[in-house]
Amino acid sequence: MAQAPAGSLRRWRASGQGSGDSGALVTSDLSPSGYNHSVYLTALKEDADGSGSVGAGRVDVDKDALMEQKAWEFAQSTVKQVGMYAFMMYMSGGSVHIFSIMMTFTGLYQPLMAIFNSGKAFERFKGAEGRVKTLGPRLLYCLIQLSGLGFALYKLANIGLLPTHISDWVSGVQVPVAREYSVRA
Amino acid sequence: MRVSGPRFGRRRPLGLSFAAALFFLLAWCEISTSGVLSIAVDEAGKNDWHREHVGLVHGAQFLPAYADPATNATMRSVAVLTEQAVVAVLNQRTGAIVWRKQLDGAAEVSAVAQSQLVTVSEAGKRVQSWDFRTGAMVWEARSEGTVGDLVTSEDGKLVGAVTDNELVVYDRAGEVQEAVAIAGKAKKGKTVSVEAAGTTFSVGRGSRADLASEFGFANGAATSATYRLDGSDYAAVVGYVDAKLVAMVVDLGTRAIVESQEYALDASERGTPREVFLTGYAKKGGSSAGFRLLLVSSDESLCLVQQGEVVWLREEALASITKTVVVDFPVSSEKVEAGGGLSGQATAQDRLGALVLGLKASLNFATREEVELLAKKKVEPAHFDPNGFNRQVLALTSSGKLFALHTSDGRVVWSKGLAGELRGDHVAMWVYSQDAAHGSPKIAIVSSGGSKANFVIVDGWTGAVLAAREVGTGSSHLVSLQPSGPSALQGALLVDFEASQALALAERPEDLSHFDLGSTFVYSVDDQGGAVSGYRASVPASGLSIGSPLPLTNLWTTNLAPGQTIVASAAPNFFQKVYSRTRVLGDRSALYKYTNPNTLFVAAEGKDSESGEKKLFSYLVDTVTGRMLYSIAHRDASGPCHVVFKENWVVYKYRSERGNRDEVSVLELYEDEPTKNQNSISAHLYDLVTKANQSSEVSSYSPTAIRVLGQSYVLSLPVKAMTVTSSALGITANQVLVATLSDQIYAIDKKLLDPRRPTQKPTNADKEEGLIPYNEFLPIAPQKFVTYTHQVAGLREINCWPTRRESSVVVLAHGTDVFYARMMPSKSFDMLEDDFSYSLLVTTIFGLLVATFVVYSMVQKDNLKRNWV
Repeated sequence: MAQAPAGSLRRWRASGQGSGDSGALVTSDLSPSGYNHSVYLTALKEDADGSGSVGAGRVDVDKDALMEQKAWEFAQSTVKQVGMYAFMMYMSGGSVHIFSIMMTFTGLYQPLMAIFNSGKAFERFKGAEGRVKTLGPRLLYCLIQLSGLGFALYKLANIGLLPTHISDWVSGVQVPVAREYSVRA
Repeated sequence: MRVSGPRFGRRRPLGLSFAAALFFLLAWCEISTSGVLSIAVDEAGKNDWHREHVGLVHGAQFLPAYADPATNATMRSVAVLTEQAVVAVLNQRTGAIVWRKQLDGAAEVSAVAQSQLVTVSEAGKRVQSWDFRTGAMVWEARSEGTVGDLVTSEDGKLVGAVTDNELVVYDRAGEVQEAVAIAGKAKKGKTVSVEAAGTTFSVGRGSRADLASEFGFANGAATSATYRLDGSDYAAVVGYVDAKLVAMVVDLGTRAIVESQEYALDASERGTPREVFLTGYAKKGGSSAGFRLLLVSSDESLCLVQQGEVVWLREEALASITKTVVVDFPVSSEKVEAGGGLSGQATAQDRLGALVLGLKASLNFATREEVELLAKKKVEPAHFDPNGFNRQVLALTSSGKLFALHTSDGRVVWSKGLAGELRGDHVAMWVYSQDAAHGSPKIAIVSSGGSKANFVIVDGWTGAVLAAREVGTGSSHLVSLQPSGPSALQGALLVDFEASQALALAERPEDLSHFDLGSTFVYSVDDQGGAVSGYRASVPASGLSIGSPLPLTNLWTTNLAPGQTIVASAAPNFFQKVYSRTRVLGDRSALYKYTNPNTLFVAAEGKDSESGEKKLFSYLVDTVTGRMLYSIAHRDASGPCHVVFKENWVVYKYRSERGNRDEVSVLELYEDEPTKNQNSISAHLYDLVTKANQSSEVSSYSPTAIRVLGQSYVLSLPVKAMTVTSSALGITANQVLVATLSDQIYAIDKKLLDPRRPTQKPTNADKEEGLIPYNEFLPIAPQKFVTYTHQVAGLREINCWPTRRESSVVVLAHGTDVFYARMMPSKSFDMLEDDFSYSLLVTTIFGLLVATFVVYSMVQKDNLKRNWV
């Protein structure tokens, strides 16, 4: 969105620069009618980073706030993803099958990896100087992922793969031997 | 192979589809082979064998020749009557059984009239007539008087039954034609002619001539009955002269020896002749006569001899097996095969041919004829089998002969006559010691008779007697001690309750040092008195010695209620393998099994003290302390009762008087300790970690509370014996094997005999536990007959042994017949199916290999091309 005006502006400026210094342009008769050089200079100043987002900068919006908003949006958007996966896990059923086990283990693995890599995921919202605070959205993101993890654990327990019952612990119990030996005559 | 052929011709994407096709083929194979429970027709006889016997022959009747309806050849056969109540017709040429019938009582006498064979059984009361060509019963009659003899009329058309004072003549349809009084006419040792029904009968048996002493035979010779051929009377006398069997046929008129032959039968193996039956035939073209002798020896073998040759020999002693034990073969087969097992050595070419044929068969390339040829050729060698499938069954028979049967086909690997070493009552046979380094096992045999008992140790590979000892007690109460020492030596005590003493049985005095009597308790069950008593044998201060008695102390006696008699009792095998300590339920809680093997189940018949109705009482008694653990009464029930006790469960069969049917009950014993059955996982984990409430030993002196679950079912099979399968580690599911009155073996899954079978609509937890909804009738599935189409004539006992493969157990059933089968109660989970398609596997691997190479070269070519572009 920001690319199109920037491109046109550059081309426009380039042609101006090509003929000499910027001052030359001011005095030039070639200036179009109604051309206001001060506007051009402000625009140039604003576009100091060369990104060309002159139009946005002109609107009175704080860029950091925008980034933060984007981060929040990103964090919230994971609900859809996690919810979708939870629904898929739910649909795969509670029986011990290769498919449901694969689904559940992916359901466990994905949120964990997402939480571990959340720093990287929010890097892009921090801006060049890292001025934008992403802790809030990141926490939300982790919370949503944790809920996904929770659902996967619940699913695992439903399948019966969590050792939460006595029967999961008795296989190691040794069969005792009899101390006395009795025999029929 | 055919699948892969055309596909290789095409281009690259087909490499994938080929693999996919193979995958689906494999998947399909897996689907199609799962769920096979019973055996298929072509599997019959693969893992089982059935040896048919007739038993100890006490009467024989040579039958007139007839044309065999199947082959149209002339059939000469002989009918035999045996102690095992079998009437059988044997082929005279081969000794094969043409037909046989198991009667309710032993047939005493027989006679032939036309095509009918008439027998009298059940103490001279039941007269039956059989068509001797087919074995079909023609008629049956019940005699008023006791029939002592059967006679055929002179014209051979009618049969007369001789009672004490009458001659009853039966016609072809079994109707009594005439009854003639013969009282006073017949005299002992004299033959009298009686006219009846228009023909003549010669009643009374002529005394057998004492030919043995006349013709110079020593004691133990047998003389045949008089045989009439072409107007002359003959008799045969058979006996051993200088360890050679000599048979003479004597013309009774002239007292001349008509024929005298020597036969290659060993006196040490066969013993003395017991009975001999003579028949003759006119030789072709000549006026002389030829003779055939049917000889029964004291080792119960039956053989037909003719003109100096043993035509056939049947080991009928195997019809009266008393004790069995199973042992491994030595690593090299030479030791046991020396006594004659495999006939002739195979050449290298034969072996190679067999190998190629075997390979072909396993790859499914062999034709049907080739498979049959292979089955005929294939004789399993008699050497050590790591799977434990090929072993030898040592079978001790009532004649005192020990047989080693090969478990692959039931052939006799060796046999040894031990009649001289044994007494009449065979008490026990067990593996006395087993050498750890594949040495020969020592087998102990205890037999008693009179006021003495014999203790014999024989080599388990040859039957050679290693030690024989006489013990000064006539008791038949044997107590086997715990195996101990490096060779798992299992000694025994012979307990004499009247004299309150026990005698140690050992091969050598030094063996006694291994005996462990420390925590050994002895108990006895008094069936009639309705009591169980516990004893303890104390070692005298001087220590154990052979022959010196150990004093026996009565520790306790548990008396049942007065008037109750014990009809059955059983205890679990002390050395059984229990795999799991607990039973996991559907709600994932666990029940702890009560696994104390010192528990005795007792079923007693009695009457209700008030109403007087018959009741069957079941008790569980601790055999160390005599404590009564549990009791339950079945109303309107009585014996006969059969029990099996395994791990923590008892299954017993009894008769329900009210329902007039057989019922089966199951009891399962669990520990009822609150600390063990609580459902709190944290407390349980704490116990597990701290080892509190977990003991590696159980003791009857620190008893635990016991919870018994029970359920009853109706069994629509008449039961005469019961046993239970046991596997090497106790993982495989158990089956209760039932011997039916029809001489078949039926396997009931333990799953059906489960007291937790839900009587209500099964809950999800029940379903998860795999419980079958309760039905009072146990289902009878024809596929569950272990004997499938066979009938094990005279079935008396079923023995069950584990193999070294956890999934397989072996069953040996014996009676008149011997039947052996290898079973897999939980299917073959630890080995490939017999019909596993090796050809498919090889084709797959080969195909994938070829595909890999093809694809690899293609990729290389492609890469090269791309680099050039």
